[in-house]
Amino acid sequence: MVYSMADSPSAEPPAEVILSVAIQRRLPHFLLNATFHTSTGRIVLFGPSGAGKSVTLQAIAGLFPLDHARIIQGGTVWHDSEAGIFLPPQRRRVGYVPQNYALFPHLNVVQNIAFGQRKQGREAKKQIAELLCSMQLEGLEQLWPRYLSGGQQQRVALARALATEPHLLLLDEPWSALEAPVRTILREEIRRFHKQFQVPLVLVTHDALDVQALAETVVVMYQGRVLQIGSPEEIFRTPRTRQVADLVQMEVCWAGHICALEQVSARERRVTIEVADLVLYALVPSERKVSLRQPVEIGLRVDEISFTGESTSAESAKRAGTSVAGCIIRDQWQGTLHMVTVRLASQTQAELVISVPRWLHRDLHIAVGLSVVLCIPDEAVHVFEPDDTKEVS
Amino acid sequence: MSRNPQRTAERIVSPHRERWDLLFWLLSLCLLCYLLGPILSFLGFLPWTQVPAALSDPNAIGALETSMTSASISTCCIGLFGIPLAYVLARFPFPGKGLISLIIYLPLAFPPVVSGILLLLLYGPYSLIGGPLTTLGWEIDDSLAGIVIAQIFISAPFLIVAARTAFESIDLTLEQVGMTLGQSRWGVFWRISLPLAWRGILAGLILAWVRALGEFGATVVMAYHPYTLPVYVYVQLSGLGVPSTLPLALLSLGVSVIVIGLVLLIERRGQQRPFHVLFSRPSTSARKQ
Repeated sequence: MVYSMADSPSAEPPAEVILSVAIQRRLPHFLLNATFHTSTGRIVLFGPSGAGKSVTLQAIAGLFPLDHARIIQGGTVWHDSEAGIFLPPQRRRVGYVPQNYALFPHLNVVQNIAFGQRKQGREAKKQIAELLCSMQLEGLEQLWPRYLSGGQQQRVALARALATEPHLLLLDEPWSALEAPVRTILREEIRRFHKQFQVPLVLVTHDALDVQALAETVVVMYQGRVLQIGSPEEIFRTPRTRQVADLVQMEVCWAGHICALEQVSARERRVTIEVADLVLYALVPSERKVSLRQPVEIGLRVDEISFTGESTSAESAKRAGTSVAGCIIRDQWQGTLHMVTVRLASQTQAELVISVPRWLHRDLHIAVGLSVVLCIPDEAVHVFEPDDTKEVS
Repeated sequence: MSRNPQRTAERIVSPHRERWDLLFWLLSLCLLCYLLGPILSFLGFLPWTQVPAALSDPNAIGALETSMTSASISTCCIGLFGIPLAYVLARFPFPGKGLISLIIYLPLAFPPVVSGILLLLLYGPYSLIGGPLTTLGWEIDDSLAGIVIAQIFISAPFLIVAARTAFESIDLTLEQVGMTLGQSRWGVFWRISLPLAWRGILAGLILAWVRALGEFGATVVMAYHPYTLPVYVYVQLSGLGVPSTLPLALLSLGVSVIVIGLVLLIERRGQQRPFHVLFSRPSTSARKQ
């Protein structure tokens, strides 16, 4: 896998990229300046609304005017403002599925699917039959789009896009209008179609579940910029900065400073961080520049934190990490998990929300007011990089 | 017990509402009566026995023919040039759009006689365009061409306004998707924009036609001859008085009723339906299963 973040649009993308995008557009209240190169087939643009994701998608399709741009897809230059190349949307062969699906209301299902078809005659008929079959749209051929459910509309829009045999599929918030259970099904469907048709796809979403279910590469966008690129694992486990952490809901973030450094292997160093009266340990890659007394921001991976009742604290101390006493102040049942809120007995008085399975909940006799000992291992502590992208605005 | 307060509240509220409803009805009825009055009294005054004879008068038939022919030619021209213009105004960004809109809508505000005078200055026998054409033997004033020119000027805005609104109401992403599906701008126009805007455009065309048919002010200045129906009615009125015009008025009324009925029918029909199913009944098979 190749990920890289270039500083300027002119930087050369890696050799075997599927999609390379470097775009700039200045609007009165918005600056779009996004650069990313990926070599995977499922790319997810992830960020809050207003981050410029949809606009980036339209720019890839050639539907959004840009000041500076360099868009290369699978070896074909789609847009290069320096070289004066601009391939119009008609010739890019993208399958664009906008947020509202934009089915043609004056055409029925089959006419919609056949609208941009490249094949002719008998081949075309065969292709439509195949698409109807794989999208489970049989029997709906003659219906007008307004009689279809949201999920059906989406499948028609997908079939219409796939009928052009696109080089790239662009999906803009494909299920924003649908309910949660339907979304889960459709995520699976998209995975299946992607496997079946082998078309690289770019999906825009603000839903972390989409990222986890579909992404091979995540491009995290915020205020028109790319904050981080990586696999979902990387984004959610090691968000580069505090901003990304907020987006991936790494909720607990503390400021502290480094008070000790120790080389534990060729690849990693173990740093000791003081946050008020707490002492925490974390592993950072060797290539990262860290120094003593350096102020750092850290995030906690709450799912790595374990806790025990006070009486068994001696046992938990065996694990590498920090033990902190705390008190349960809230215990909320959420279907399959209990969300237990623990207030730390440290100066910070911080509150951590830890999800606990039912059996553990019962074993520990968890109740509001119970004193517990939290074990924060090295793996639970993530040190952010200094936020160099902050701009004075 | 708990239901009772609600019920009393309903009882207090609803009579009030009815009283206000009554006020709306009263005011509406005043205007409705005013609008309906002339038509009813006209039908009462009409010498029904003379109608067939008056309508078989070759002058009247000729005037109606002239009106129909010229209005149809005008409407064709308006459609041919007005629909693209409306599309440009609805979709292409360019500087000075507001100014152009102003110019287009001006004829709606001009008194038609003034429009006729403006046209005469350009197309009259001694004018910039009319002069050379007259020397070539093509007289614009006092000919069918003159009538058409007057009618286009007066009734084009009706089509442009309607078509522009129709184009603007189409979701832009439909056209964008059409482009990603390989259609050129022209293809997008023919296969997406036009089919979706047809209802509005057709209503606009019919309104333009009916406006052209009734055009008097500009026509009478530009081309007194050949008589169009309104001009002929006016001539009859000034020569022979009111009674002689009544059968002709009936003729106009009939045409108007048919045309306005058509427009309302188009507007009432289901939204976003393609042209070819505009006048067919909604198919029962096309229901949710």
